[in-house]
Amino acid sequence: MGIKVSFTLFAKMLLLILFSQATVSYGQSNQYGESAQSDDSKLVLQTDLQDKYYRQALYFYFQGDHQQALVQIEQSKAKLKRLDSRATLFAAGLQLSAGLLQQAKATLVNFDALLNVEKQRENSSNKSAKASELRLIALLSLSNEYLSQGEITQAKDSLASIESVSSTYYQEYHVLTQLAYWPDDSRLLLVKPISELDDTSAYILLNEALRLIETSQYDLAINALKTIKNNQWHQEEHGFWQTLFLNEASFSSQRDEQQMAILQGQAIQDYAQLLLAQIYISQQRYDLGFSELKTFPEQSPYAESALFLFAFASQQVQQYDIAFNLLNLHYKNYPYSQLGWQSAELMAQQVSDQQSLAQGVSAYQTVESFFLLRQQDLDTFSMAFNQSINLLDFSPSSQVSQHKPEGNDHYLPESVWLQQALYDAQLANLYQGVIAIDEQAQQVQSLLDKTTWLAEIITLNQARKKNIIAAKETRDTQNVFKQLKTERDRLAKLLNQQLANKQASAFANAEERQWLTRIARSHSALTQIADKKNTADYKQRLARVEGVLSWQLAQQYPQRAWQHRKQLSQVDNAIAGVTAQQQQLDKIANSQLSLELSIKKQQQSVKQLNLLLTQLAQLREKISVKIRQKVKLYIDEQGVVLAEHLLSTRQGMAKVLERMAKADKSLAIKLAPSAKLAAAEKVSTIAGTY
Amino acid sequence: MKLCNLFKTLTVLVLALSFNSVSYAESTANAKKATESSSELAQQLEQLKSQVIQLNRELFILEEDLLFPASTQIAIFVSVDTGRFFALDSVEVKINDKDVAGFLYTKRQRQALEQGGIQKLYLGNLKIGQYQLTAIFTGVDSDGRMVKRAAEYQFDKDDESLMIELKLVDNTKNYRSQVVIEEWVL
Repeated sequence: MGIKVSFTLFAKMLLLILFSQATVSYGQSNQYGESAQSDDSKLVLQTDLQDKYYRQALYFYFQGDHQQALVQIEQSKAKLKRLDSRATLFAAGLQLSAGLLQQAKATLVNFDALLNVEKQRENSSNKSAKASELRLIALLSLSNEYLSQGEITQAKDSLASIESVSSTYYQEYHVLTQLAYWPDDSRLLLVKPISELDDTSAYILLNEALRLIETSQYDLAINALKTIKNNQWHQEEHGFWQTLFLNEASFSSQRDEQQMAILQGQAIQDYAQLLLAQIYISQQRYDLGFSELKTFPEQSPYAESALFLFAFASQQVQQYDIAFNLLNLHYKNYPYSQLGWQSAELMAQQVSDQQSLAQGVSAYQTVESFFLLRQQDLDTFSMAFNQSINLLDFSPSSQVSQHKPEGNDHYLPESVWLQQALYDAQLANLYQGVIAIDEQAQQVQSLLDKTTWLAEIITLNQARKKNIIAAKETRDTQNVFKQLKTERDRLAKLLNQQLANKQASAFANAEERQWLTRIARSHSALTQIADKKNTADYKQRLARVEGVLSWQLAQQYPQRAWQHRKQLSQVDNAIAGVTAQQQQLDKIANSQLSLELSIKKQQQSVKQLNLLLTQLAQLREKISVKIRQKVKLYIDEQGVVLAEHLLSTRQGMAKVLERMAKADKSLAIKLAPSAKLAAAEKVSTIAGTY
Repeated sequence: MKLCNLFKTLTVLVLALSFNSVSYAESTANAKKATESSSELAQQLEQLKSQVIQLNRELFILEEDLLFPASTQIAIFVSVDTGRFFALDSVEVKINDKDVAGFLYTKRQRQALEQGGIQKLYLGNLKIGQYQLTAIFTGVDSDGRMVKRAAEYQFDKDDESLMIELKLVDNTKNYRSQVVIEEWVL
């Protein structure tokens, strides 16, 4: 058999083995994460995997999917074993936005140490500048965290450890310091900004004004508020980290963001204007308060308070028509607000003072029925709320489904009473908690589904493994493999021999081999008939043919020798591949551990997930009880306030009727003494009904 | 007198409504006692949340180990430079002329890539051997014309996991974008 034929057969056998081992694709491996590096790859610059994984989380973050970004960063942490300072800070920001405050706090506490390690490792000044910025952000976030949890001393400590603040972060720093030291003046404790600030920001000024109001320094407060009111404020551009930690709503376009910045600037000015008017009114400078509120924007978020103040100021400056219209408008526009209720009473009082007594009675009657209606509303709300089983199903607003805020769901009820009750931050947080529990339960359920799926994959893997082991035993691949290696060695030896002999016919193809056989046969035939016939001509012709063939073989020899050497090296490569697969196969067949570990992990996960579902349900129940208590308290409070208003309205009405009775009485005395008694009795009867 | 009380109520209301953070600092001490129980509940919820995240992470790793073991794993990622010369619309990836992945981008996804994000486009299994990867990016150039950018890459899959990043890079010399393929060195 020629070398060529042997090679073809050998290649076919290798293919057969490769095919039989192709079923390993679902094999078990626990090699992930182990950096088994070859000597060659050590020379190549390693990819910055921290950066690559961090950017994968960024991909979700920039799409507004903070939850998925956090999941991604957690997965990166599990794969890379540790995160660098940048990714750690990013994780802390995401944890904050996901409401994982304790976790974020722990991350930020460790951040400083991590940063120092990195600082020591990299001496570049650029890196250290970046590091100090990250440190500042971490400290600011930590202070914010402590403040939100009421841990003022720790917040002060965190702020005190800030050594320098760039102008970019000065606003946050200033506001946080002021909050930590409220109501004391914290200005002397502030670190000076690295670069000169062009102007104080609106937030800083507003905070300063509030502190001045708190300490009764009204003149200074008025100056600060006037500055806010009269200046044009532009929104500072927030960097990536500020946006992350401030947890601002993500905007789909730059235009929306600019629009929001304008609205925020306007809101600050409105608030300053309102505070200014409030100071004037508290100082009984009603005319100034009146002129301040005259230009107050109608669409402002503070319109309700401003409207009330304006009505009150109008009364004080004797602009009764304006006051009447404003009070009327106020209680009709805000029928569920306590300011609205006060407006209603003030309006009735004004009517009875400014207009006729009969009109006053009528106004009081209208206001009384308004309060009765509110009481009825409140009772209906109370009953419906108590009967509701799932709190989130109670009076859901259609607005929520239409304009669902991205990433962060908020419960917005249709019921105005509940909307009002939700102004209480604690109650709103509790509702947020119920929403978060439902989301978590949903996620746990999807994880449970995943575990079921993983169990199926494990079963499939077990079956595959069983099949592989069975196939391995029946085929006796080791022996076949050994034979193949022997055969390869034999062929290599043969090839080497042929190459050493330099015999051109060794690499002849089938046709040439046929020709060589024919020539040999002809030589033998000529030898046999040489005595009987003159064969000189035949021999000459045969020699010519032989010569041509030898020349052809000699010509082809180098190319064919190279081809065979190449084929041998291909066989070697294939053997190397098969050896690797063989080893992998052996590893899979011999190691029960990884699959068993997977089974164990899967079973543990199922247990933990079921436990989590139970815990979530229990917590939901606890929070629901707390919400019901709070809402009940709110309803009772509103009931008491309404009852007080109703009582005070009736008292007001009684006073007016009394005045009417007195007026009638004096009139009756003037007109006819006999009619006096009858008229007085009539009025007393009416007054008595109230 | 009544008006005076009323005005006090209003002052508190305005302050409370408008500047949560400031009023918070003011009322922290009083509120602390009342919120103790609420904060306990919040802490419990937080613990549960963090357990869910941890379990999610563990199950993800288990899933990847089972479905895409390192010995056969191949992952393909997409990243974009600033996207000045090419607004990415879609990508198509072939391995040995066989379609393995394709993606149509929304504006937000494209912007997320332009802001530095990396997208995991494909995660799959490949046997040990030599392969050819073809990536075709479709998008709009700076003149608003629909254009395609393609790249080919030969790679060997061994028994370690393989990660390939398809980078759409802006070339300022010729004002064109080009596809650069980077194999991550693990």
